[in-house]
Amino acid sequence: MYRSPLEIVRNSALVSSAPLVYSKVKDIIEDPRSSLADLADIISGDAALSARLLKIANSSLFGFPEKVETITHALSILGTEQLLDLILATSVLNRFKNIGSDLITVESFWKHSIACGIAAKTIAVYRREINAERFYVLGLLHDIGRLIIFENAPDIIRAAVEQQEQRQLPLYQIEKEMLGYDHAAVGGALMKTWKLPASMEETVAFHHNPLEAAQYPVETAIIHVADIIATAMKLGSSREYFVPPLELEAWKLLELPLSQLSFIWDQVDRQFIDTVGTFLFD
Amino acid sequence: MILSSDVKDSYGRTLLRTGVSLTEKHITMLKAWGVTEISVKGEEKKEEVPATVPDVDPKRLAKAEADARLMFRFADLKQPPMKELFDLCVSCQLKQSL
Repeated sequence: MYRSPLEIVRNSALVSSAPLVYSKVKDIIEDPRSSLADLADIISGDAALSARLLKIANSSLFGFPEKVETITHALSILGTEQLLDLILATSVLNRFKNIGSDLITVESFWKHSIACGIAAKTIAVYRREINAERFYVLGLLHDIGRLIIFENAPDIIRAAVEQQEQRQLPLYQIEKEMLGYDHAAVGGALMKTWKLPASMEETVAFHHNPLEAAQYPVETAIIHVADIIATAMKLGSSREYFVPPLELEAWKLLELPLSQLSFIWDQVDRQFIDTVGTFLFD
Repeated sequence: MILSSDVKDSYGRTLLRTGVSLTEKHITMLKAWGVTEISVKGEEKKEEVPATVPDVDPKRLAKAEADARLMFRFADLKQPPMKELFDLCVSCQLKQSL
């Protein structure tokens, strides 16, 4: 039994180290002597990654009016922070491609995550947050902890899903009973292990209890609300059947008018199929 | 519809210029960027308001609400955003069951 979220992450074959291309690109970005051409070289060297990034740049997620046809062009319009985030997202998706079973269907899991991502990004755009695409990636990764638990302790997930049905309790609460921690904490531990920004770590770790996010309450509230919307929309599933309860203080922090909810629902609906195609399929 | 002024995003970047003839694709893109208002040239048309809202079969409504209540078991429906989401969920289920 893994005694802590960090322990389960460190023992995971899939996530104990950050994706190589992510680390390489991060190093280049942080090196003041490097150029856009150096970045383009590294990325172009990975054909699958390049193809995916171009597909993403041309998708409705960004909605650029002109077609993006080269990596250099994509790099010049995406910005380095967005680029790193997208490389992170595609690398993680890639790592967990083959993990599914009858218990957790990987495609369904990512669909729920994508829905959460679109909802989060829509909230961020409304609030004029800087780098709204970061919230898309946070939504995408918010439940990654559950896949990690599933990879390393599938029996726990199986038992928890059974109990969810029998006892009619939220899955993340049952995880906490069984393990002492839930998937959100594991996701946060992953962000920490990969040395991702502290805002990402806190947002993922506390997306079910956003009032505990001391440093990034707004970012965490965005993912908290987006997850609730995505679950209510029943687009894919991370096996969480019940719509998680809303922390009203977190909702108030966002200063969203009630009418914005139907707009967000509508946006997720409109962008869902295109975004799933962009991220999940060739 | 023809744009009568440039449309910019929240960062001040121009998304579409004056004179562009709007298509569905443009509108999808603008919505994705969170743009909710634009200026267009042309005559004002009177909106036609539907005379009646079609009635929903009470049995279908009851079923949709019952299903939604199962999922929303841990939600506090006295919270306005959760009530709103609940209603959206029920509407969505009704549309899907058509």
